[in-house]
Amino acid sequence: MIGYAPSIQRLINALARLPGIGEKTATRLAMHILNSSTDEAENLAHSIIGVKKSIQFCSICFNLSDSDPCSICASSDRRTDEVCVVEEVNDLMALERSGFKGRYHVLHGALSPLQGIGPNDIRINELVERVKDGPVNEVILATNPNTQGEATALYISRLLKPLGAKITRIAFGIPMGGDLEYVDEVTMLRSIEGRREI
Amino acid sequence: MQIKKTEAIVISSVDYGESDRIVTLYTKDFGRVKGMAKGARRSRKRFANTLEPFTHIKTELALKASSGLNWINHSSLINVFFDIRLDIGRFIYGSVFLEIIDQMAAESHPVPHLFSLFLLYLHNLNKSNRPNTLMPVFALRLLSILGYTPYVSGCVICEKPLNKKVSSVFFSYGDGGIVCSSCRRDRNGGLQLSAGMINILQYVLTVPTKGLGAIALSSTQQKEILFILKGFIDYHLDKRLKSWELLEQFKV
Repeated sequence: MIGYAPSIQRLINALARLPGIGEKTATRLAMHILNSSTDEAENLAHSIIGVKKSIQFCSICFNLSDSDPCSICASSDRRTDEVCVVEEVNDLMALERSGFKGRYHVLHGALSPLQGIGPNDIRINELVERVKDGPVNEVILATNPNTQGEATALYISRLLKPLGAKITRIAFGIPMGGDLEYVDEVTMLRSIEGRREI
Repeated sequence: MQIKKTEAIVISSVDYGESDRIVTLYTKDFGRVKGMAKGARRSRKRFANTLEPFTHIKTELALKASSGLNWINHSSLINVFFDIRLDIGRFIYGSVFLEIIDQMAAESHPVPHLFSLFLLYLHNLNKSNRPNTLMPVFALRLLSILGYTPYVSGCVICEKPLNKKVSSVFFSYGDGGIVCSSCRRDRNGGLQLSAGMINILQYVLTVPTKGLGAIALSSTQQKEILFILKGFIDYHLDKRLKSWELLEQFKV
């Protein structure tokens, strides 16, 4: 049986290695690339090579960046004494959209004993050193509000409290525009616990 | 494919793709079940907060007749055991217990009394200030329910009853129980048990399960029972539990 030309098959094989892409999808993507203009194909190839060559971890916050330190850590417009701790770069982006003007620390994961992820496997020690070196007045723990995220926040707060910095946890509760009737009992309980005076 | 409703406790939950989760449950009626919860990361209606580890839920499953992944259609909360998340000791020791069940309970094979023991453990753990004692005590009983009861009523080799006042008895993982000093001469290894440890092991394996939460151990006994349990599990699994390897890192 004669298959695709070797160069097409090579592209299909390479695409099929990507997460969530099976052989059929890889074939469809390969055909799309084949049918697109040379400029588009070159742009895609350069983007892949570019990201591999230039992206690195910021040595301060461990964000993914083209430069070290990253543009957030290098900016003089941002508060240096407020550090927001997030699990992943995607979470940092979500906070950036909110207009937060402090700096970040990306852990690159959360504590998950069943998956073998412990304190030494994520960037907790680097955070402790950063707070020690100062000047950090407040550490905002913005890990996800699930079991692993809560445990991670708790573990970090235990390490940082003796260093004297103020440790805060992001609020939990009813989403803006939400409807009380449809809020689950755990979220409702947390929102009652986190109520504030107006 | 059969649609079944049952109670379950969530062992683990791993994100899959953009909005799904692969969840491992220990169910009351079908034992350990692994299933796909489609859209679980987005759906606030079908799964809101119910697929977190340690959570006791009611769920509807679509069980596959042959091999393959089951579907979790929806679930609702019975008890979230929230205080487990608020203490690192409870979280890490509780995680070890979850992993023991995950690794040692056979898939789709309900074991009598296991679900009720699991639930009792979570109720105790949720308010415990000594999770390091609670875990080995409940886990030893769990192993017994799973069919791995260590032989502690005499020497596992010569079967002679033990003189409990004699301190030179050993626990042999490979032989599956206590070995007297004379039988031990012919073999290598084994952990020497401190005085009184035989009584504790016998009590843990026979006391009505409701009494397990009240068992108190000295710090030496607590370390010893952890050591016995770890060796016993490592031997039977032929690998180490990931969560147990992390206990030292957590410094609890």
